[in-house]
Amino acid sequence: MNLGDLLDLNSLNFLHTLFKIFAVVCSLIYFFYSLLIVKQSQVLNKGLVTKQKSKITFISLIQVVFGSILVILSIFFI
Amino acid sequence: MQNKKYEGKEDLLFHSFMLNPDIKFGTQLENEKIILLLRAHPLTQFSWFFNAFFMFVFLAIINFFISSVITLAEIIFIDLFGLSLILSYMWFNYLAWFYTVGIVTKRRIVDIDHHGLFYKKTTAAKLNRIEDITSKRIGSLSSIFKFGDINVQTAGNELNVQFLRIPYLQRSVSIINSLLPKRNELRGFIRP
Repeated sequence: MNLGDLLDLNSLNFLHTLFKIFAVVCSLIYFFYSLLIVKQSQVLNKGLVTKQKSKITFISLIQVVFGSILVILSIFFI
Repeated sequence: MQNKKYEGKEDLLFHSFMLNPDIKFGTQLENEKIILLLRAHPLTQFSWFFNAFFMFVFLAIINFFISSVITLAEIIFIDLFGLSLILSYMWFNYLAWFYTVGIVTKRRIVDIDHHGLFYKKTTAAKLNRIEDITSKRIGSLSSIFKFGDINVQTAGNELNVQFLRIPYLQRSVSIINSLLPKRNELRGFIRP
C-alpha cells in the first residue's frame, strides 16, 4: 500500500485508514477516561468509606483493562 | 422491632436504607455515630438501565448493516468499543447513585449529592437547627414502592436538606423525628 492508495477516495483503503485513525483516537480517549474514573472512584471512596471500596475500585480498574485492549486492538489489529 | 431487619446489615451494592451502618464519611466528626444511611430507591434508577438495554439492542442491530462493508477486525473493535461505552455509562450512573447519600447522625443530617461524578455538593444541618420536616410522594410508582422525598427545613439562612426518592419514607421521617430535641424542652430553654 502506498500513499497514493491511501488518498484514493474511490479505494476502500482510504476508508479503512480513516477507520483506523478514528479507532485509535477513540480508544485512547476511552483509555484516559477510564483512568479518570479510577481516580475519581478513589476520591469518592475517601468521601464515603464503605465495605464496597475494594469492589468499586476493582470494577473501575476493569474499565482500564478494556481501554488497554481497545488501544492494542486499534493499533495492531485493524 | 421492624427496624432490626435492617440493622447491622452488610452494606451491599444495592442497599438504599441502612440502620446503624458500618460506614464513615469525609466530614464525620469525632464520636459522631451514624444512625441512618439513605440512597434513592433502586427502582428510580430504572431509566439508565432502560437506556443501556436499548444501546445493547442498537449495537446488535448495527452489526447486521456494517458486516458487509468492513472487515472482521473492525467489527470486533466496534462491538468491543460499543460494549465498553455502554458498560461505562452504566458504571458512571451507578457510582453517581451509590455516592449520593443522605446520612442521619446523632448530631446532624448530611446530604451528599453527586451530579455525574465530577460535581459534588454537601449540605448539613444540625439537629437542633431543624424547624420542620416534610415528606411527599408524587406519582403512582412512588405510592406502590413506598419511596418519596424528605425536605428538612432549617432555621435562619441555612440551606434546606433534601433526600430525594428515598425508600421507607415514613420510617425515615420517624427516625429523624425521634432524634430531634424535644420541642417543649427547647421552648422551656428559650422562654423559661
